Amino acid sequence: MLLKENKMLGEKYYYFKHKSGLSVYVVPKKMSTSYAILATEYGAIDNKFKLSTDNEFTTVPDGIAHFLEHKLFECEGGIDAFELYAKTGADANAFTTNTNTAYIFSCTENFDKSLEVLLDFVTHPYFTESTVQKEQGIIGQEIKMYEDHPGSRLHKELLKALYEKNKVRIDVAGTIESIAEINADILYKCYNTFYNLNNMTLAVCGDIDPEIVERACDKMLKQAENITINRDYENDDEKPTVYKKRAVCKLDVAKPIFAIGIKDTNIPSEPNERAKKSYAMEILNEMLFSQSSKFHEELYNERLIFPDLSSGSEITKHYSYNVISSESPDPEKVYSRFVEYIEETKRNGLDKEEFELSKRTVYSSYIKSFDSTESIGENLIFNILDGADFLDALDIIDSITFDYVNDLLKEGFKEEYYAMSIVEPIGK
Amino acid sequence: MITKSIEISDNVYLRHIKTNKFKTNYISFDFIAPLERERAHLNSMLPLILMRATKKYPSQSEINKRLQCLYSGNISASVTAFGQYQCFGMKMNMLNDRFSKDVSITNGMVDLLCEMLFNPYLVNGAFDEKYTDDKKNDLIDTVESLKNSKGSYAIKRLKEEMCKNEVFSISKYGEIENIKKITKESLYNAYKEALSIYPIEIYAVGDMDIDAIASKLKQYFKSIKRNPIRVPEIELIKEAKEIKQVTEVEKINQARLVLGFRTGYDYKENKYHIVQLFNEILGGSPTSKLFLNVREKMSLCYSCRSIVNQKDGLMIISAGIEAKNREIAEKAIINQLEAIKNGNITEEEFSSAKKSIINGYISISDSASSEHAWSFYRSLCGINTTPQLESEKIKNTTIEQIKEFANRITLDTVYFLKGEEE
Repeated sequence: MLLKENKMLGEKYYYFKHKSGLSVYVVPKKMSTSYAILATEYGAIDNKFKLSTDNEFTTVPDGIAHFLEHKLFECEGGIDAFELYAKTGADANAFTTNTNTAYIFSCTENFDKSLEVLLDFVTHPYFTESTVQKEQGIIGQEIKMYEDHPGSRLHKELLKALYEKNKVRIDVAGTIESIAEINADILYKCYNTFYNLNNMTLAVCGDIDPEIVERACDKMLKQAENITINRDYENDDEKPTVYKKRAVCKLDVAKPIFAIGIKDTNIPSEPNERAKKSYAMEILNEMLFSQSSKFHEELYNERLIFPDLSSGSEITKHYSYNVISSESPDPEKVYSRFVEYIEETKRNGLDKEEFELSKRTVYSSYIKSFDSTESIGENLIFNILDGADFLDALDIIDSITFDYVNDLLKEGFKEEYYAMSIVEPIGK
Repeated sequence: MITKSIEISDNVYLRHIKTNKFKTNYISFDFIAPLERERAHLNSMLPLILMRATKKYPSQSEINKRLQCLYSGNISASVTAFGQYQCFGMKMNMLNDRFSKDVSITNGMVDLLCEMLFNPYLVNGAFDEKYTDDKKNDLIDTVESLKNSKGSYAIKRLKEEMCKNEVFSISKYGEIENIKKITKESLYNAYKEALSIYPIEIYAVGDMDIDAIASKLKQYFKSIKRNPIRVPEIELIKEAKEIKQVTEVEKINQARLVLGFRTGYDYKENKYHIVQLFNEILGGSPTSKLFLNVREKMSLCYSCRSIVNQKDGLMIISAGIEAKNREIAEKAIINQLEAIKNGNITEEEFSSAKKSIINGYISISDSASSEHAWSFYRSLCGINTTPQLESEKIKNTTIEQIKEFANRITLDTVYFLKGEEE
């Protein structure tokens, strides 16, 4: 068992590779709530794959990772995993992203029993044609709910404008049509490929002894076969420039909502370099677009944005982009102001004092994330799944220089990398 | 839980919830006003205008620079409606001083809060005209954008229809026509009045020098002439007379079915744990009757849940469905309530609901904002209790008590929001 500690933060974790193949992290934290997250490196983008023993690649319907996440909760004999958690008193959930699927619970007692429930149901799939059919109705309503959700539509359409081939274009929940193609056989095929314990990680955080976690693993998990998964992302020839400059959809909203996306295909292959770029983007976003920025103040004073600009970047090994969004009576005007502002800032250079203050903001928001067992567990696991170590972040943030951020601005912000998604009111 | 209460001025209290669990500190400042149609818009505007500029920091960017210096201290305007109350003010979240390399973060944040509350940016004895107009527009935008989220919009519409003559239909932000009428002078008068007449509750959660904060606040309040009002009690409608039906059409993909009930529960009974336990069994969790039957068995929806509140005596059930399934969904929902009225609760359902509620209570101490909310809202009901005490009450609750409570519930209004072509 390996111990890693960050004295400045006052946080540490234990790591071990369980003999079943599962990677396990335990973060001791004196809180009443304990949190566990079991994740597999399998998300919406993994729709074409083969094992080294297969001859050909299998392509599966869009939305299947998310569908599988729903279906795993149903255990043999018609019992629902939620009912098992109900007995131990845990609060459980699950979610699927473009790159991962995660099963979580939090509890204030019976941690060991809840952990057994988690390890048990995720390793025991049970699908039949009738249960699959029933789920198609439920997920169909989930898809429809998100169709009415402006933020979700805005984001999905933005990704489809930024990328031509990258599978981040695929809707996590799929479509009514694509999920209609799902059957029990395909679900088993995906399950047997991606839910191999060697492809999975468990993180727990709370007032917990690592040995309790190890015992639960010993009890519930069988050794997984060593497999090699080949994934075909079919995006080798994704261009650095955007696929479409605009994506517009209409919904019953009060005023237009926009998101400007900045595509980035210059993704560092080394995980710590990716993490560094990600924190540096946060600093740059804070400098350029936060409420203290000149740009924000000007747009606000001219009532071109409401209420605030929000910005955020996402960097994974598969895709990377930055988003600036808000509501506006005139998104096109905001877009042209954005282009001008960036060019002007590139010419004049960034401000060193603003850099220091913005770095402080990123430092602070990182430390703040240690106030809940849930956010610790999530940050740890998603960093690990992307290859980085969240306890190293303070050093990484510290190592970011003014010149590094200036270069990000100069190289990453060019008009051919920008696209804008707009949700317009119906009737406009 | 509250470890110290200090009287700052007449009906102004500072409550400390001391804990060293967190790397952050949390401070909230709330005016406790009656929720009134003639005042709601002014009150909800006040935090916005006060945070816009101060004497010392006369622009937004100067305030934000100051916040960045304080390690990105966070301050946000807040307004909530709770029964007959409209609570409004600011909430702050900041890094603990031990992570600062130079400034004292907590002191700096308290100073900034006081600066906003007591030294606002004024022009000729009123707020700045441009700032007032900006914030009016912001507030109007906020109200207009409420319809972007269809689930909560449908619930808001149900309350407006169901509680037409009650305080619960009043928007916590106020109405657009009234917001438009706000002037820099009327807003300034509302500000002066708020500092004088509303009870004020300040909460500080975390590890900080509470006496120093208290003396700072006392200093500022010295110059305020306090004349606090009492927010009057209201009479709740305990039982629905007849069922109102409201159907509306919007350009949406998924229909929304919302049912509004009268529970007959009055907070003065001080038995909110029974209401919460009942709600957990009916539609508060993934093992609730609504989730297991209407969603899992009948496959009618993705979301279907019930919500209760300790102050208004209402229960609301909402579901996102196909419009053509409206009747079958409504019937299925009512059937689940009927099952509880008939005492149709298994021992297993009952014990898991208890565990789930207790789990929620025990987790309160892991979040500063939950600690605050627990004490704050209960104190507005005149209740002083701890999660541990409430957990004991949950353990001792019987199925018979849940059944008895369920039988007081009557359906008042059914609101249905559907797409155009259906």
